[in-house]
Formats: sequence, C-alpha cells, structure tokens
Amino acid sequence: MEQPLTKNIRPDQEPLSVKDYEKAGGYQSVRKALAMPPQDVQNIVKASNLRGRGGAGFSTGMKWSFVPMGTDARRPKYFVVNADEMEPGTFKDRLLLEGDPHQLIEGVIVSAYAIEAEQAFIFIRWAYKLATKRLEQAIKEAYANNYLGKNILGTTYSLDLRIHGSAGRYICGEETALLNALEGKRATPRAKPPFPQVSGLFGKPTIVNNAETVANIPHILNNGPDWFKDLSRSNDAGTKLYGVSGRVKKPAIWELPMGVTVRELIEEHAGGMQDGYAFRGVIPGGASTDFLTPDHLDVKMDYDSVAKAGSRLGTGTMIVLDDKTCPIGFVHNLIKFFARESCGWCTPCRDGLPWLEKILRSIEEGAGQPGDIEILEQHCKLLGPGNTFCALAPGAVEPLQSAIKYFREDFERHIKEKRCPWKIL
Amino acid sequence: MPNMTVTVDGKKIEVPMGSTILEACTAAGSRVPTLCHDNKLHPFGACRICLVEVEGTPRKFTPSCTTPATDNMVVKTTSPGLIEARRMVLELLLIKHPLDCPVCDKAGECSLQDLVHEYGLGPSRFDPEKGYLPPDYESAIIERNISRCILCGKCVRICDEQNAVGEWAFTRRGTRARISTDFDRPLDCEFCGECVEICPVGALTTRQFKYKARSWNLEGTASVCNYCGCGCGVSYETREGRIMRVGPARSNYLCTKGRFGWDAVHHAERLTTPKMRVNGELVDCTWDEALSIIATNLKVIKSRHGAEKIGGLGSVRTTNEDSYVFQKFLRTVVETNNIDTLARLKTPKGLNTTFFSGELNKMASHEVILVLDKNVGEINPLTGIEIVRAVNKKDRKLILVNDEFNKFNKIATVVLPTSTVNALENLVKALSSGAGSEESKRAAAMLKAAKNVAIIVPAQLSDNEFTLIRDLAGKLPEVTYYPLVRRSNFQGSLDMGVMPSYYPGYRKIDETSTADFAGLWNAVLPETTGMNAVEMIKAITQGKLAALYIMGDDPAGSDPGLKGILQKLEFLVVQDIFLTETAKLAHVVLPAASSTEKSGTFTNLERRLQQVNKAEEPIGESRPDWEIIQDIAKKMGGSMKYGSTRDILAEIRSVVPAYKDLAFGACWAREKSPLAGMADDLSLTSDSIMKQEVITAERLLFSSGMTITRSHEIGTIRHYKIEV
Ligand SMILES: Cc1cc2nc3c(=O)[nH]c(=O)nc-3n(C[C@H](O)[C@H](O)[C@H](O)COP(=O)(O)O)c2cc1C
Ligand code: SF4
Ligand code: SF4
Ligand code: SF4
Ligand code: SF4
Ligand code: FES
Repeated sequence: MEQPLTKNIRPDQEPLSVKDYEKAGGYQSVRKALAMPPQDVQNIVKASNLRGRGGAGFSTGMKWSFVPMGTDARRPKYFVVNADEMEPGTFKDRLLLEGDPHQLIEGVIVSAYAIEAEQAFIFIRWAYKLATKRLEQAIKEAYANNYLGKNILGTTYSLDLRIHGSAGRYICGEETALLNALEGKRATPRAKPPFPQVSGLFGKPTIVNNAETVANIPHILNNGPDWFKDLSRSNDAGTKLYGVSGRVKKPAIWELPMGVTVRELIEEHAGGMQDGYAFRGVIPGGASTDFLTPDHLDVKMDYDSVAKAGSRLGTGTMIVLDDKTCPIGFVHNLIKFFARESCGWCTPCRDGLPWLEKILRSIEEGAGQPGDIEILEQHCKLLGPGNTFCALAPGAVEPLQSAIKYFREDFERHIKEKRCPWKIL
Repeated sequence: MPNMTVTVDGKKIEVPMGSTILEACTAAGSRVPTLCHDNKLHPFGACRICLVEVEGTPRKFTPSCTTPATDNMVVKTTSPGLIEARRMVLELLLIKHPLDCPVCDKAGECSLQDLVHEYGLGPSRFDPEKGYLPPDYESAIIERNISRCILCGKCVRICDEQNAVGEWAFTRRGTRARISTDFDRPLDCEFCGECVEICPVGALTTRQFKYKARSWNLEGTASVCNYCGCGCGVSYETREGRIMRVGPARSNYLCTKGRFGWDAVHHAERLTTPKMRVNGELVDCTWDEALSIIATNLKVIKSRHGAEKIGGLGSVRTTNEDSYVFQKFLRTVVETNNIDTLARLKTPKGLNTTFFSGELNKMASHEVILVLDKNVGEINPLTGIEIVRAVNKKDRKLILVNDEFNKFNKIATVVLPTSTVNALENLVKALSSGAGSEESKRAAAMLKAAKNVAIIVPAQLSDNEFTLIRDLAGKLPEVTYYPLVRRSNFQGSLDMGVMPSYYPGYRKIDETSTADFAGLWNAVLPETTGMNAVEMIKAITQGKLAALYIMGDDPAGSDPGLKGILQKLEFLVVQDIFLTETAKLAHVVLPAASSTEKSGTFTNLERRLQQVNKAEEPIGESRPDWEIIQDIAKKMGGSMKYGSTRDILAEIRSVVPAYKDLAFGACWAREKSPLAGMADDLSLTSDSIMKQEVITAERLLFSSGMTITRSHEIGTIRHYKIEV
C-alpha cells in the first residue's frame, strides 16, 4: 500500500532537511513542472481527479482553471495554502505540516506555477507553533537552494512564499474570510461571486487550497494522473488522511486509499471500541458533518458515497459517539463552539446559533420544554445552505439535525424526565 | 447593455445584464423586504430577510440582494416557506432588541418595526436577552444605542463607501459583534449624519431631534439648503409649524451644515423687530418708522449728493427674487448702478465665462477626475461625495493635488503632493513633452487616455493658475469643469445682475442694454456703470459714498478692518437675520426672514433652478427681503407691486433669457449666457479687504460664514473633537 503523503514522516523525529528530502526524491516535481507550460500542469492535475481536501471536495484542477491566465491577467496573482485547521476533531494537516514541511512547499511551488502566481502564502493556525517553526526553517532552506525566490532553478519563474499566522478564529479557515484576514481586515467572509479565482486577495486572482490538497500535487506530477487514480479504492482518486477520535482503542490518523469503509477505519485501524463502550454513531468529517449510524458502517469514505449516506466526507477525520456519552451533550458542545466562532455577519447564524446552544443546554440540564425539538428542527432548516452568508452555519447544524433524526428518543427523554439520563451513570 | 429575461411571481420582465435578483424583483413590481440593502451601497447580504425562491436551484432559498439574476431565471418572492424564514429572522433580531419603541425617535419609520408589524410576530418563542448596553452619549450630535442595532452594517458602509471617512467599524464577533469607532472613542468625523439617516432602526439617532416629535406627526416641506453652492435638496420636517428636523430630499446626501446647521434660524439672537439709532443707541421701532426713515434719508442723500453716492451690497444667501428686487430697486428707484456682492472676492476667475459647472450627479460619467483643490470636500461637501461615489461605485480614476493628507488620498489613483500651481505646471509639461516626475507622468498618461475628464476648479484662482488650467484643458479631448462655489445663491445673485456693470442675465451695461431695460422696467436708469464692492469700500474712505444698503451680508464680521470704514458712512441700512457686527454699526436695522421662512428660488453652482419653500412663519416681525425693499421703494415713489415671489419670478423669466423656459430642477445651458467664452472676469480682487479666509469653526467643513456660528449643534462639534 502506497502512502506518498506520509512516507517521509518519522514520528517523534525532526522532519527531513532539504538535503535528505532531495535524497528521498524531493523537489523533482518542481523541475518537471517548470519544464512545461503552466497550462499542462493544470491539465495533469485536472486529469488526476484530485478533489479538495478542505472539506467541500471541489475538483482542484477545475478550480485552477478559472484563474485568468496569460499577459492580460491582473497581477500579482496569489496562491494561498489554507492551513488554518480549526475544525474540531481534525488534525490531519498538522501531521503534514509538522512531519514533512518540504512536501508542502514543493506542492506550493508547483501549484503557484500552474496558475502563474508570483506570491504565495501559508495561512496557518495560530496554535500550530511547532508546525510554524518547522515550516519557517524549511522555507529558509528552500530559498537557500533556489526552490523559492528569483528565477527558480535558473528558469524565468520567481515565487515568494511567506507564512501568515492566523489570529486564531475558526472562521479564518473559510477561504474568503481567510483572504480578508490576510489583508489585515476583520475576518468575515465575502460575497461570492466574485470568486477568489477571479477577485481574491487584494482583488487579484487567487487560489486557496487546503494543505493536504497541496501536499498531493508533487506526487501527481511525479507519477502521473493514472497512478494517482489507482491509489484509490473508489471513484475519488488518491489517498486520504483519515482520523478517528472518541472512545476507540487506538485513536490516530492514517494515510489510506480513498474509499476505505467506516467499519475498516473503526474496527481495524482504530482497533475497535474501548472495552465497555458500544458504537452509536460517528460524524465522519470533522464537527460540521451529519451523523452516520451503525447502519452506515459499510459506507465507503469517499465524497460521493458519504454524501449518498446523508453526510459529508468533510475533512475525513471522524469523531465517534459511544453509548456512554449523551448525544445531546455531544451536540451541545459542538454548537457551543460554532456559536462562539460565528463571525457575527448574518442574522441567522449570529443570533440563531447562540440560541440553539441555549435550548440544547437547557435540555441537557433538564429544563427542556415540549416543543423545543420542533424549534430546533425549524431552526436547522433556517440555517440551511443559501440562508446564511457563508457555510459555517449550515455546517454547524449538520450534526444537530442528524442527531435529532437518529437520536430523537434521547432528546424526548431529556425533556420528559427533566434530566440528562447519562448524568447519573 | 444587453437585457435578460427574468420571471418574477409569474411576471416576465427584461432587466439589464448584471442586475441582481432584488433589482429584477423591484423592476417587476414585487416588493422584497430588505434590512441591510441600500441602492447607494455595495450589496452586503447580512440580514437574510430578502430571501426568495429560485426555480431549479439546489438551495431552497437565495438572498436576492447579493445574487446576480441570470437569463430565464424564475423567481418567487413569497411562499409559506419564505414567510416562515423571514419571520424567523425577525424573531432572532428581536431576541436582544429592547423594543423600546415608545421612547425611540425612529418609531414610525423603523424598518424593523414595520416588518415585525407586517409579518405579524406575536410573543417571541425565545427567551428575551435584553443585554442592556447603556446608550453612548459621548459624541457630539449623534447618539448610539447599541442595544437597538441590528448589525446591518449600513452605517459602516455609507461612511466608508460614500464618505471615504470610515469612522464606524465592526468589532468582536458572533453575538457580541457590534459597531464601534476606534477603541470606542467619541466620534471625530464629518458629522454629516448620513449614518443616522441610513440606519434602519433607532440605533443611531441625533441629539437635535431627541424626543422632539413622533415621526408620524411631522410634515415635510421640500426646500434647499442655504449653506453652500451645492444647493442640496432638503426636507424641512415641521411639527405645528416649527422645524424639528431636516433630512435630504430624494435621499441624496446632506453634510453636517445642511442637516444640523439649520438650527441657527431658531437661535435666540434672531432679530425680531426693526431697530433705529437714537442718541447713538439701537432701539426697537415699528416697521413704519424704520421704512420711513430709510426712504427719507435715501431721498435726501440722493438729492443732496447724487445717486452715485448711494450703494448697495447684496446677499449670496437670499433668493433670486430678493436679489432681483434689490438690484431693481437700486437701479430704478435710487437710480444707481453701485450694486455688488462682497462674495465676488472669493470666487474663481473665469466662473461663468470659462468655467460652467457640470451636473454633480454626472460626476461618475467621467473616466478621470482631476481635483485641483484639496479642500473640495470641505467647501462643497456634495461635490466631494460625488467624487467618492464615482471612485468607489464606478471605479473612476482620481488624480488628487494635495500637499497635505486628507480623506481623498485614501481613494486617489495618483496623488500629486504639491501646490496647485506646481501640479498644473508639471501636468502641462508632462502632457506636452513627456517629462516630469513619476506621478506627473502617470497622471498625464491617465488624462491623455481618458475619453472625458472632470476638473475640480479651486474656489479661488490666481491668473497663472487660470491660464494653466486652460492650457491643460486644451490638450484634452473633453473636459467638464466643476468650479467650487462657496455660498448657496452666489450663482443666482450673478444671474440676477447684482453687479455694477451687468444687468440681469449678464447683459453688459451700455447704451443699448440700458435702453432695453429702461423699456422693460419702464424707468429712468443711471447712464454709467457703478462701483464694484472694492471700489465702494474705497469710496467710503474717500467720502465718495455716503449711504450703503446692505442686504444679508456681514462685511464687518468677515473682515474686522471694515468696521472703521463702515462707521464713516452717513447712512447705513442693514437687513439681516441677526444683529451682526455690521448691523451693530447701522443706522437702521431691518429683521429679515430666513430661508426657512420664505419662498422663492435659488440657483446653485450647477445653475440649477431650485424652489425654496416656506416651512415656518417668519420669526417675530421679520419679513422676506423683497417685501421690505418693495415697501421702501413704494415710499420713495417707485412702482413695484409684486404680490408674491411668483410674480417676481415671472418677471425674471421675461427679463433673463436663460430663465425663460427654465423648469424647476433644471440647469440653464451655458450657451444662454452672453458671457460664455468671453474674457470677462466676474471675480474681484483686493489686496486690502477680506484677505483672510474666514473660518468660523475648527474645520472649513463646519464653517460657512457667520450664520453657522449660531448653530447650536454645529457648535457642539469642537468640544468633542479629539486629536489622534
Ligand atoms: C467555516 C469554515 C471553515 C473552514 N475551515 C477550513 C480550514 O480550516 N482549512 C481548510 O483547508 N478549509 C477550510 N474551509 C474550507 C475553505 O473555505 C475552502 O473550501 C478550502 O480551503 C478550499 O481548499 P480545497 O479546494 O483544497 O479543499 C472552511 C470552510 C468553512 C465554511
Ligand atoms: S454564517 Fe454568517 S455569521 Fe455565521 S460565520 Fe458565516 S457569515 Fe458569519
Ligand atoms: S456622521 Fe457622517 S462622517 Fe460621521 S460617522 Fe456618520 S456617516 Fe461617518
Ligand atoms: S447602527 Fe444602525 S446602521 Fe449601523 S449597523 Fe446598527 S442598525 Fe445598522
Ligand atoms: S453640501 Fe452644501 S448644500 Fe449640501 S447640505 Fe452641505 S452645505 Fe448644504
Ligand atoms: S437585504 Fe439581502 S441580506 Fe439583507
């Protein structure tokens, strides 16, 4: 089983230096890419079927193709790595950032070249101090070896790469809020259209890609689209970093072929549930995805299959709900996070999420009222896609709406018994 | 632009490409509720009340204000689901809202109140959370009541997108988000009140209107601001015949003077009775006494010294009708051409001969705007606003000449950091030889590439600058000038012939024109042209002017040096709304009605004929200027008998060709002036009088001659201004 993204990562050790990375075959894709026209790089990535690992799963090659190219394009153009990773339960980008910073930098160079960008940024989560330190070191090495800077490897292509530490807000991960933050403005999303590809950072054409997405690029260039597709066990190409947290025996993160099943992840890789705990459900892709239940254990963890099961692959890092954890408490915890992280721009999210949080809290504390569930449901509907300014709120209510669907009796019991049945256990 | 077809609520309509769904709905006559949208601003999409259903989209609802319409789109603006969603938005907005409508000045014109009423919300299902934040009384003029704010961001955007000030911003996030100034300090801005005007709820209100009236008890009178040459349309909102508040007509814009400075006319020091000098003291008298003294004295002086020893200084703040009657009185009754306004000293050379202003609302039709007066936003605030709008809404390019820093620097494409004369020289050089600094070259290239250019002409010009502007314009394909004009009816006073060498309509005084006007007016007219304002002042010192009639101007207030000179007059009549420094020297003082208390017309800097309408009764015994003058004329044997300002305007239309068929609201065409393109200079210069710029407040923006100093509201600004 090939694990291109993690093959250089040595747990609990310093990442590879530029020399060791080169020895391991690193930076070859830069040479390869710079020898062809940018458009060809785009075409290879498009043919590879790579889908964005930031959550929405949009085709990366397609996204790039919207960037105006050639001499008429407005400049400078920007390439931005989204390494804000604040999704609860998600820590996949961190592994790549800390474990193999040169791989990311290599991906940045090739991606930026593909869209003819002259400036790149890595927008990194505030708390990722170690990753920031290692990236800074790696960038320094890359400059010293002419992978970055003026006339890379003697070609006419030049690229400047900088790290921007986020001020620490979940909304900064939303790509347009990220761009505002990068411009030094308040991190609120922007209206789309215009899309960043056309009018992004400082109004210039910009691509924002997730860190894991970018890390895939060198391997696609080196080995070709077909190799990349063959890595997968499903329609969606490549490998994926999957994570499992919750009361399983071995919570961790693994690089596996796209399309492994939920069951394989939990039972084989995570070693099954801890003794005395039974599996009740899972949110498969970070906090802002719908629950899957024991009925869905054989669902393949790829974009289309998970969507068909009524959820989203999201970040591919799952949180398991067990029978000794109150689902209302579980969801309440998540909604509390989202309410706090709402940017405050639009009414339904700004004033709606805190209020959802309050109802959930009162249900959990035994003060729920008949009718509360219906209000929660109605509100989940109001916070659906299109009703809010960005995708934070629709994502936020995904675990709640599915919890009501699958664990309705638990909600009802809380209200009827005026207490949390799990509290006395 | 090509059109597209959109079906709204079953109605098929054509809208231009690029329209939003909201625009299509409006065009189709379907009303979609909005809270955060305003046509003046970029779409924002925050309130989510404007949701509609679009057929064939995966999303259930779509915000109409931010979403572009597409060809053959089918839109539904109402459905049970939409109503439910909108009710929910309102319900959420009310969670924290204090619902203190009974004591909120916005009640009755509050969008939130109206929508809650329309959507029939009953008791809330949500526990109210009236997180009471105390109102903020720290700022001048404007009060902030955060608890009422619905975070629509309109205040933030109008101040930034339209004003280029950017005083408001959001702070914090989630449910704690709120609007704030830098570090919550008191406002330190232009105090235009546009943010108050646009706030859909009672979160921003004014101290001036606080608890003054319920909005539904107000009656509006459309009129014109009397502070600067822009002549913004105002609506005087009265309750029981007294102005309570002033807003913009046609929701365009008002600056702080127009919106708040009107309260000067309610000042306790308004003149309410005529006064005459008895034993060296000014004492109240009756109208009959005052007018008889004036008539008698003018007759005596005329017969003793000759009419050429009598002069009149007119006003640039009174109506066309007042000015017309004033000059006609002096010409036909007193029989002198010693008629002028001092404001001609503060006027750009070339105004009304070379420089005819373009229309302000067409500023954005110019590809490049060249600002030659950094104080444009302070002298003519609306002109400044139109520049910002052109740049921010239509992406026009701005070349700014500014050797300091102000808000226009923030939006300028190129800044030429030097004096106007240097900048002009550099631009002319760069345009002809391609030489010069990087900035001049960039600016010149922009000017050259532009199809049309707007040039903001400084409020005052040296001869050199004047020539340079003409040289520059000569090198450009199409130029529209926007000369700055300080006072409200300066243009009108010129049009009406308040000048010693021109009859109304810029007819140069000569034998033919004198014969014509003698016929028109059925009067004997003086044979020679008169003295201009500078000459009259000089004549007083030389004993060549014995009597002066000043209508609505305060020379001694503007230039204290004139005090001693005016005291030399044998007879001085001052007609004003206040006992000004000049009035204090007069032998007779006449109380005039203010522009809020009378009707007539103004002609603004665009040469737009505008109706001034009476909103309140004249205070005390004060009367409109023309009525007073007509009565004196009668007492002196003149034959004026106008029944109303309409009669006067009818006569103006018959005498001034440019006004003949001029509709209200229209601008007269430059071709209508006999002086268009001529070398005549209608500005005056003097090296002794009115040399100082009179700034009656901390900023030129808050200053507008002497009247504004009586505004209580504007007076509060300086106390709160803090230096950053
Ligand atoms: C509220 C919110 C938070 C997000 N946070 C992240 C994040 O931390 N990292 C990330 O890569 N994408 C995040 N996204 C998705 C980005 O907006 C964007 O889709 C992604 O960076 C695109 O990269 P990709 O095409 O490579 O997936 C977030 C989206 C939303 C709505
Ligand atoms: S849904 Fe609205 S309030 Fe929530 S984060 Fe997005 S823009 Fe901000
Ligand atoms: S009064 Fe005018 S300048 Fe001041 S904050 Fe409001 S909009 Fe801005
Ligand atoms: S103060 Fe008024 S205009 Fe400003 S955000 Fe609040 S509600 Fe909107
Ligand atoms: S811009 Fe001029 S006319 Fe308009 S409100 Fe201000 S002072 Fe009055
Ligand atoms: S009016 Fe459209 S979201 Fe507010």
